[in-house]
Amino acid sequence: MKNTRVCLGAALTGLMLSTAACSGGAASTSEQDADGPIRIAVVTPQSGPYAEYGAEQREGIQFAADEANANGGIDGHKIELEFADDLGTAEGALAATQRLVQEKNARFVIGLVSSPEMAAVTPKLEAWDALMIGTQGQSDDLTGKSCTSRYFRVTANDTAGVNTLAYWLTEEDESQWDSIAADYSFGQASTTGVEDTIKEEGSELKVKLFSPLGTADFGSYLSQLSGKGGLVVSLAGGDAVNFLKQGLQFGVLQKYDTVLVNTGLSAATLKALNDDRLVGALGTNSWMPTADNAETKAFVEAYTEKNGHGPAENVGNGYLGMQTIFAGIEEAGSISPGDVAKALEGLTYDSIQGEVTMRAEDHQIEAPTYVGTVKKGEDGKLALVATATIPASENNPEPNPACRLD
Amino acid sequence: MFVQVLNGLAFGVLLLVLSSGLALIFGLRGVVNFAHGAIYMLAAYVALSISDRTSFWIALLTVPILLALAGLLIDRYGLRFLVGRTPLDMVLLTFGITFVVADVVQTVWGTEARTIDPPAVLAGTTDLGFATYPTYRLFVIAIGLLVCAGLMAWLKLSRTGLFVRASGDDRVTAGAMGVNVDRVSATVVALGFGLAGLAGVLAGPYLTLSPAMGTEILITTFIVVVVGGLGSIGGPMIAALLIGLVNALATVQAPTLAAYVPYLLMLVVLLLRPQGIAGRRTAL
Repeated sequence: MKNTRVCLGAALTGLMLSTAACSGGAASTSEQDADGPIRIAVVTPQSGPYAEYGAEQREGIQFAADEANANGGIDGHKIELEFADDLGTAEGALAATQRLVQEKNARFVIGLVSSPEMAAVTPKLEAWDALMIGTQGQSDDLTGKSCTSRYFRVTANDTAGVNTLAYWLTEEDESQWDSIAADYSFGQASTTGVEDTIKEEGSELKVKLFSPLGTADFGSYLSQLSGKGGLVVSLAGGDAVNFLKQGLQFGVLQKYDTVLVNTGLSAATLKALNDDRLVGALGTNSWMPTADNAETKAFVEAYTEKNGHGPAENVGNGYLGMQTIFAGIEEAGSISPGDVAKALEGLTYDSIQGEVTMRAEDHQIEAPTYVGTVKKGEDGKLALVATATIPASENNPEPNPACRLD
Repeated sequence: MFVQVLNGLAFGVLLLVLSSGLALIFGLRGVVNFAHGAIYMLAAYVALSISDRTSFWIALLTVPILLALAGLLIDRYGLRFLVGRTPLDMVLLTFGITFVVADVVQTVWGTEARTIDPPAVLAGTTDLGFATYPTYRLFVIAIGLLVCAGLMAWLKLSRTGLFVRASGDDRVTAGAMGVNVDRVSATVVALGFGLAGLAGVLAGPYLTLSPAMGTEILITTFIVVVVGGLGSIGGPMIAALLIGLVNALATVQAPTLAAYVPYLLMLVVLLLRPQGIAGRRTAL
């Protein structure tokens, strides 16, 4: 018995050491070949709760690279992708990114899913002479008090997400709302924003719940919801699927006049649930394949032709991230990450979101966000269909004053 | 309040079925089965495929049997050879199985979240007088409690149950008295895997399927077994229901503490009663 404990302890310590061993912070020494290929480090979770998001990111990134290579490369350079699994943890992200940057000389980093992973890597980017594009994590801090000269975000941040949600909160005439949110920065920021907006509208937030990330059983939360007025759900990934499924089983979701989901009503969520009772639910997202603009339509068409199915939201986000790297390289006329970072500041370029600008002050993209309604398509599948576009001037009008880039 | 008790019971029963399997295998083979969560996850995915093609009821019957067979093979060709070796070898084997199963599931079923629909007869809600409650959860509670009552009766009353308890108490003496310890161990490992399989099938329509579901619940199951007492079967059963109930009530009464409740309970038990609620006084 004692032996079992000792050995278990040893095994766990060994595991921890093996993940921590390669996460040092030594500066990079090797140089990239100025005429060589553009090496891109695709660091995504291939296991754990965010594995599906990782798979979507990789699809979008791969599609962008294949397309660019088929058209003769970017500024005369071929695109080479190097892949690594970040295990969905901050330590894993740091170790995997460092390995690709220093061993494979892949200085453009993309694909990380969650904000804590990105926050572990961004402080090292300058020492490694690398550049990172954020294609999913929403934390305001990444383009706020923790902003760095080498990190650029092409998706909405928490503030922009809440401002997008405000569209529905003001549009829907409910006298009271309930809220359930993930108990970390995304859910907390969302709930605070929702509460403020609802107050301004003269209605009331009656029930306010927070569930830990990865909650398996939402029964205790569902029993506390009133079922009256509207419900705002700020959960993502597997939590959103779990909550909506159990909410339908309890019959709680059906009682609300309005169910509004911040970001969580993704294609993957709707596919997993495949429940007609969700028709009419409202959602928001940083980008939607059903967005009403010519560039999105062209991308969705090209992607569907090649893959036989349409892109999920994060496929588009990954693709947009690659478009941003390409635009920066073309503007800089160089593949040195330092030159590309300078070129990207304030750059206006064409993307699947139409014309977008990378704000110089905090490296947050100025791009539209979208609101939509769940509808049943002709193929019998559910989809969040974009019904309105919130322009950048409304979703995120001011640079984050907490960001000091120099 | 009653609804919260039912919520606690539903999740507690799932932990109960899982932890009984874990405790059984530990009690007899002395193996901390790290693969238990992976087996539970695999069962849920196999149940998904079977219920998509046939019905949920067929999945409920076949999946536990299939996994019990897998358990039998793993015991016959794996665990049996490692008896007497250091516990680390056992850890390597069961930990290894976790990785293999996780990769197989990701390759075959993908990484996206999946759901199983409960059978039509269990899909709605039932009016209990004081509240309406999902029928499927009531079914999980009933099945889980029945299976565990059956398991206890089998251990206490049957001849094989007697052999299991005897071999768990003292392997060598039991062998000397003519008990075929290897066969008893194989039965127990098969039963443990079968119970993990049952928990997986039951969890399918209740929770959501994802490759991470095994790891998430395994940690809570380990806490259940530690609180209940290593080497005991009844202890973890009480602990599973206790943790389910305390968790459900804490979520309502003290939401900020809810996530810590299982760990706090474990801390208190380890400080005041290190052998757990019903653990053995002597080391194995």
